[in-house]
Amino acid sequence: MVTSASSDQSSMEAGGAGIGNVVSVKGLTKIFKDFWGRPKAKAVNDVYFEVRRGEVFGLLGPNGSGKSTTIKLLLGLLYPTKGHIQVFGHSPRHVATKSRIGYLPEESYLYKYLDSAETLNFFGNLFNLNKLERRQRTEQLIEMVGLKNAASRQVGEFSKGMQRRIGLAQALINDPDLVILDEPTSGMDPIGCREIKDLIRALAKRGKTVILSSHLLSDVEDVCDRVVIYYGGRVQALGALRELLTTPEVTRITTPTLPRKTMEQILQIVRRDVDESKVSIDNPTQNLESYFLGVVEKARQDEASTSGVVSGNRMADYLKADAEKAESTDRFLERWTMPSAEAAKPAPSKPEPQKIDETMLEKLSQLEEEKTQSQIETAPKPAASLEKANEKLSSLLDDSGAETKEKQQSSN
Amino acid sequence: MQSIFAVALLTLKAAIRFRLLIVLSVLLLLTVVGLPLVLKDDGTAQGFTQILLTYTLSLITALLGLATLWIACGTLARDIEEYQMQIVAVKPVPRWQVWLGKWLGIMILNGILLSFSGAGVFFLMQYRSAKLPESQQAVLRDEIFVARGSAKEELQDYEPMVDQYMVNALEANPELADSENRILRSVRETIKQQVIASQQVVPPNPGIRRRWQMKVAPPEEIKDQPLYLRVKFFTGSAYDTATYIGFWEIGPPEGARRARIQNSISPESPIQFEIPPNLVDADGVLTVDFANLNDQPLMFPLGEKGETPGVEVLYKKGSFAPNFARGLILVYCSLGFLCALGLMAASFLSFPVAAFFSLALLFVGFCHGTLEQIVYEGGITGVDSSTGKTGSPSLVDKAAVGMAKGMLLVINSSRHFFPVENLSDGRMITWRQMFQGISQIVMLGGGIFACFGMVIFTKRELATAKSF
Repeated sequence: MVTSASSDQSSMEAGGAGIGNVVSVKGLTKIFKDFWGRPKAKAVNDVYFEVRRGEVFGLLGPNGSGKSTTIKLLLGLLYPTKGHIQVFGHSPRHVATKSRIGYLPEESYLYKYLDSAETLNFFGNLFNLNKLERRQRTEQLIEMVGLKNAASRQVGEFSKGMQRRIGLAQALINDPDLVILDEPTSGMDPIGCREIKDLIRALAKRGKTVILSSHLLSDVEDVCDRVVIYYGGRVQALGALRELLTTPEVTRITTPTLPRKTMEQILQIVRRDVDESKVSIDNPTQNLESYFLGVVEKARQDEASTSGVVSGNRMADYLKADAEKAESTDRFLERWTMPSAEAAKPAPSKPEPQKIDETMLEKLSQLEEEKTQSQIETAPKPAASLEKANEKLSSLLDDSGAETKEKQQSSN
Repeated sequence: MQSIFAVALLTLKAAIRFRLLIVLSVLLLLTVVGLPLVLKDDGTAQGFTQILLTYTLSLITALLGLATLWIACGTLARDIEEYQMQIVAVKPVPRWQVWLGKWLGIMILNGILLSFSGAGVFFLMQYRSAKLPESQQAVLRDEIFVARGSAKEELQDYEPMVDQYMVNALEANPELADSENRILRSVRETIKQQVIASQQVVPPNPGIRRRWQMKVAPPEEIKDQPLYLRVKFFTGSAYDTATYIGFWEIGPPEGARRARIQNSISPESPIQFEIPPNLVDADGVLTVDFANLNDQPLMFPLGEKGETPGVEVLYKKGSFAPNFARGLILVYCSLGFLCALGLMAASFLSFPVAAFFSLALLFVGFCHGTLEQIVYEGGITGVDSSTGKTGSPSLVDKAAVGMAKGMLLVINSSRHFFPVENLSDGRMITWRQMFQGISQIVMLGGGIFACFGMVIFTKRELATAKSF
């Protein structure tokens, strides 16, 4: 990991900000000082990285590792003690450059006395958008973030998740080329998290650059192309996520459930080259997010009503632009409007290594005959445990979840 | 401009949504309507004016001034402390525009509130004045509901006279020429004070006349219009409560039209009395002679450095309504200055500290009398009761006097534009005064604060808690 960071740093030092780099950070250091100018904390320490156009770049690290400080330095809200930052080739304090940036802070620092539409109108004004543009974008964004039913409510009355949504909308009001999202899924329900992740991918496909800071590893893993990992203000690792996560010494083969005989044959072949203790076999499991979204979609189809957030059903027209092919837009829209279609699909399995168990093998082969096509529907779950899971998941839901739960209970 | 107006509108919305506008409106309504109900006037034009105009307008100014400082400190400092400014500052808006937008928003709010409360005062005065006795209504019409011009004696240049006396002194005392420069300067200063005093003091001698000549207006402009003589004088003792006899001869010195008035006048406070019309000469100059029929000298100030002169003439120059409107504009200018002060403080201080800082400055402004007393007494410790001054001033006294003088300089220059006194006296607030008010209070005073505040706000890091 450290090697990766060092090599990236070396290339930065040698080549500087390359062509196509949206952000270039060199030797960045930020020391917070006390009233008397004495150093208090070294929040960021000699950091080098660059962010390329069209990529989703993740800033990872535990709390207090320097992620948010880096973002604030990129935005010109803090000034470096040492080092250089360039955003679109300019200083972060260059006013005109800011028209190309959208920023969602870690907390929704919005004006609580404004409603959603007024909030977006205000920020639209700061970008000198004309009245018609402001009105259109406001309508589209409010619909996109699923706050149509709460458009006239003051932001101060919003739940944290709803505030994040309107915060996200304001970050996109200017159709930015660089979107900086600080803990974007913080306070969001699982549906919101999925929508934000889908949105990030969609923005990246449209050539937008996204910088994402999070300590939620799953968020970063799902959307980021490259990441930098901070600890104690220093870069511990930097590189493409796929490269960083791949374990080249392990191979995984995924197939539909096989007859016992076929499996035995495969194992026999594998045992010739690999010691039995190093071979594992199991059923892939879907992740909790996918399962949860399946449950919610089912509830939605049962027409459960909610006064809170409704899933955004289309991306804002002006954000679609024409830089991308219609095909990919359609793909995004399909996913945005019908989360169940994608959400119902199980995430790639992440089997835990375990020893081969003959009884397990037998059980697996027997299952083959009982299983139907859809894995989410067919995964054998005892009724009691399903109910328990539903209960647990419903507690994670907001209002809509509560109503879903009530509906389910009443139907039972 | 779009972003400046957006920030201004946001500031205005904040005031409305946080119910500040309602609270201020209620307070102003209580001031305009409630105060005259609680404080009953004595049925005279002066009493009526004091309550319905002086007190009410002063209270409105004080209320709006305090509110302006509070809002100005709050709107910027709290936006920074509660991090909303972080989202605004990352938008393509220079920070000075955000600062200016806040100022504009507060001033729009002030404009609305001041217009309504000013209109309330104006119409209430018109309505309530009808209930006064006819004689008092006439006094109101002639002295208050009017815009009167003021004519003063032109200040003379005493330097040539002082130089001549100095030459005479050196001739009479040749050994003085060999003295140190310090001593020569001291002698010259003493001579100067004696020359000025000789112009100010009227000795107790009926045969001696002190003459003032004041350029009023062409005779046709003030034909048949009443004129008023405004007099302020001092005696040798401080806090003198006795009354003195004044004998006045007014009119062209060589003409037959000379009015003679004998009256009883009190020292220290200005008094005003009517003199017959048509007493100015063909050039519009009014000549006033005074004889001191008392047994001690009387001192009439010359009116140097903005102080009220011993004698001045007031004459009708315009009507009350536009004068009142100009007065409100001057109040508005002062609010603009206070707004800039509050925003400047909030640019680098946290909300409570900024509010304290601004209010402390305002409080010092209100302590004008105390500051004058410090200067007069020559210190802040051990006043000698016989002289009313500090016996032997210490370093602390000297420092206090220096500070008080400095503050008075600033305060007096802005007090000159405080319109309530002028309106209560029925004096004209001239366009020149208004222009000076706008340029000195808003452009210069407010501008200095604004530049300072904008620079600090632009330079500071917004994502630290580093405000004091």
